[in-house]
Amino acid sequence: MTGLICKDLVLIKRSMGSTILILAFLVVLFSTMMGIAAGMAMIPIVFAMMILSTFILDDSTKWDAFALSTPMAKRRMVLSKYCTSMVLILMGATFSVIVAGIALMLRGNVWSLEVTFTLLASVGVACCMNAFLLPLAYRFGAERARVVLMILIFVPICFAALMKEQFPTVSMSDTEAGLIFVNLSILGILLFFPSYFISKAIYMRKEF
Amino acid sequence: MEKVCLEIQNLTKRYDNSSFCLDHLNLQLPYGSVMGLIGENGAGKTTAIKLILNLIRRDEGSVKLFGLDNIRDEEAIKQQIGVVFDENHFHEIFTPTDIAKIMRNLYQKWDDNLFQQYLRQFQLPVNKTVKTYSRGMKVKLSIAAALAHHPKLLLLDEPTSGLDPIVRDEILSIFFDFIQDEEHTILMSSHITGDLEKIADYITFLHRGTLVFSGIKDDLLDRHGIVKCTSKDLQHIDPKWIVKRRVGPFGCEALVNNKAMIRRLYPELLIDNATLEEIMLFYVKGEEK
Repeated sequence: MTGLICKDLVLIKRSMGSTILILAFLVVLFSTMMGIAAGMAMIPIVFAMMILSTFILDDSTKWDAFALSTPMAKRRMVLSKYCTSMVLILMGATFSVIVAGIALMLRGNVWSLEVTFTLLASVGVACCMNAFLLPLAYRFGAERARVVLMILIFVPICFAALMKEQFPTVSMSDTEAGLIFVNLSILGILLFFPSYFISKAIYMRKEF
Repeated sequence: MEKVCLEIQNLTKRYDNSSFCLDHLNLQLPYGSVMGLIGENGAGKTTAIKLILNLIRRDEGSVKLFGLDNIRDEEAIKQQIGVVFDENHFHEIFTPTDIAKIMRNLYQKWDDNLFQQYLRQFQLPVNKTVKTYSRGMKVKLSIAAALAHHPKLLLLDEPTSGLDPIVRDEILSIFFDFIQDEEHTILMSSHITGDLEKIADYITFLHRGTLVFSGIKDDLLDRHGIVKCTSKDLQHIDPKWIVKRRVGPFGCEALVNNKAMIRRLYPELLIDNATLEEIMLFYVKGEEK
């Protein structure tokens, strides 16, 4: 299974060109509209989405048919995708911390609770997103899963960003906000478990 | 030790959205031999190989490899099998080094030195991506990856399809070398019957999902012959010797399944040896006797 995770990470690394441009665009856009914290929140989410690229590249070479002719069980094929997904989210979170740290330093600001909460929330959102995305990718293919993702995630986010002035302000203490964001990240990670079993059930019925 | 490397009994696969059915296939492949699986496009050769590998679900029947059930003992079996498909499945941005890293984690007996040796023997550039490889080079890379974990059985699904005669000859030499070890076995599907005539010990012929014959290649070629005669002469031949016939404007041809007997009974008739390709064509396109 380690081999498959390495395979996916090598694939992503070598085909990252356009992804970096998209990432840079989103970070600048959201930082401008909503601040540094919002910009850095995009990074784990974009990293998480990269898992779809591995599905598309695998489909293009019919990699699964070859991989399943080796001593690689179907359930481990699915597990490797989930592990790769977790690795990507962790990498995104790490990169996000580095980018935020540099941006804050350049502006002469210090690391704040808001930045931490935003990071936790974005990790939680990334995990939740992939927990829904991976079964969709196994069932309908990566391209359709991507379309569903765009509709479910980015349309509400963009709408919220444009209409933020219309929403009532909800005041809560830092502790309450922190609890929500921590729980969100834990929820995201926990959702991976039922998501894995659903994906496994879908994949076990597939023929190659 | 089991005498039979691969044993298939009543293997059946039906597709919901097609009238095609692999219908109760039975075959046995002894250790140390090469079996050619022949048939026209869509005959069921790839379906049979995918069923052996459990890539698709069977409706009936059983498959045993090395005496083990191919579903229950799937992982143990696949440690001993090398597979080469008709198309490249490696990502084009990978180099052989990347492929070795992946394969090392998949096979317990993966041998890096052996893989490098094959790459040198096949003259495959190690630091170039698969994208830069020609079709023949991609097939050789697949073969190198299939051989480098010391498999006992090679499953080859039309590995020489689309290759020029020189590359095909090189690849067949590789398989010849592999089979020198009597514990090594090959099942190779191909519609290039000339390749199988060179290398195969056994031939299994599939036509529209049905097994037409399965037996020793030399016996097959020794028994079958093509009678070339007039339609009047054809009528005198006992129908039990005729497999199929072709009637043309200038004469008739009949595929017979006992060449020696026909030569004894009808010494005036011209009987040519039949190649595998001709046998296949008669079975598929010939008329009933």
